[in-house]
Amino acid sequence: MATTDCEKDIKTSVQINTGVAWATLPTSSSICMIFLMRAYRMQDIKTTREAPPTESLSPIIIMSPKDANWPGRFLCVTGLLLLSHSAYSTYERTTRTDLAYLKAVDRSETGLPLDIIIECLVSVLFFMVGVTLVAGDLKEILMETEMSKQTIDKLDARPSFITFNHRGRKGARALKTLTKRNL
Amino acid sequence: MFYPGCDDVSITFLEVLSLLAPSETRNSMSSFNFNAAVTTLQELRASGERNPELVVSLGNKIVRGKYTGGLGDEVWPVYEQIIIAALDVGDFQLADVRYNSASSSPRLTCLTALEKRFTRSTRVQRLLGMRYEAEGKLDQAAKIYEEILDVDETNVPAAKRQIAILNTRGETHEAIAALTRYLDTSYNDPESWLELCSLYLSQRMYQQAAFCMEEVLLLQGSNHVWHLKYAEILYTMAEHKLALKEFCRVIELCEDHVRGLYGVQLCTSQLLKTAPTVDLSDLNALATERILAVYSARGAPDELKRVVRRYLESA
Repeated sequence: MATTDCEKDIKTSVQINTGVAWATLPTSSSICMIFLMRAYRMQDIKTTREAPPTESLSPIIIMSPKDANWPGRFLCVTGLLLLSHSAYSTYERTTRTDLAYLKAVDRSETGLPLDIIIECLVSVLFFMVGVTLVAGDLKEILMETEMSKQTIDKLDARPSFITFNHRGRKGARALKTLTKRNL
Repeated sequence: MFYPGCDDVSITFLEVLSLLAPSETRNSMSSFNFNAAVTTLQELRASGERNPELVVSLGNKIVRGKYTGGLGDEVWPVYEQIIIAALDVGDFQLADVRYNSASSSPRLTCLTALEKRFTRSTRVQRLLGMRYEAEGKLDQAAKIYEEILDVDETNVPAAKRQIAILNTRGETHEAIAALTRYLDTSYNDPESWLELCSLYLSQRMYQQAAFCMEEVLLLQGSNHVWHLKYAEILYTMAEHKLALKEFCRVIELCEDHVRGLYGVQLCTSQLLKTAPTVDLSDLNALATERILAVYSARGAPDELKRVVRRYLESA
């Protein structure tokens, strides 16, 4: 009975390890893909106002990705590689440990080796730093500070109703005439 | 900046230069910062602010300098933005700018490039209509919008442009009627309520304008600017009590808002003349003190503060 208990322990720990490995790999890679895609500017195209904003507040929130965020992208990619490597290593390790041998020698599954755990945690660190570099500047949490910067020109612009019969419509032609006359 | 309705006023040189001087200096033309320009255009698109000279100056550099490749999929809303700004400034050449596509196909204009990419799109039709409007061909523009609405009755931008055509023609009463009919169906559109409010204000129908602002406040109640507008309309109607409440709300939402403080001060002065209470005089003193504190904090000279103090005492 002890051997079957031992077997069960080994089986469950192996299952947990492989389950963790296969679970972390797709989730982590999908999260990384999302951040990398944002970094590569495949964001939603910002459209002009077709319908008016329906939120109760109309703040201007814009992500401003830093232009030179190559360190951030590089760190994210290396973090992804380390994570997938550690995940695959757990799978490799569990399939390569001879369960029959362990059962014969009456030793239980020792759990994940330390280097794989360290690799996983190091990848988390890389991700933390990389994602912070890739993400844009933070905005103030209080609505008030954002709203006090809004001017009436920005809020009360009504762009869908603009008319063109104002005196500025001669502006381009006048400037062209002026530049032609070298004034 | 722009005064809609003023027709063919002769422009002085200074006015033209102030209209078209881009915000960057001439030196920056040599080192054109493409990313900063794209970010500026994005912000202007998000806020809906009407700053056509800036957009035209940036758009000129982007389109004429062949930077359009770097925009990727963002080209289309940028084209739309540039076209509308060019129509605002009267630069029809930019609106029809020659666009050399990478595969050296026949030279397309901005508008036809959009048409080619988005065939049979009502949004591109609307741009065409706006182009006719800017040229002054209002009947053709009206026909285009009618065609759009024949196909799709609920198309919001086309309905709004029809109202804008009525504004351009100067038929304010018809515009008010049309806008009221539109708002009967879509009543959760703050932009239209604001447009109706400004139409009523131009006709000095303050009661109705106040009603429109109340509708806007139902939709966007935490925005201090709408409270300010409502408060000022109420003050104009001589409803000092309610105006005072609204001005206090402005200061509550946006601390030390100078216009709101002035409003509180003026309302309390008016109310103190008829029914003086301790609360009103306290509020009056507080508003005066805060106005002077804000002026001092922003480094106003003493002469200015003396003028302000004298004005506040006499009000």
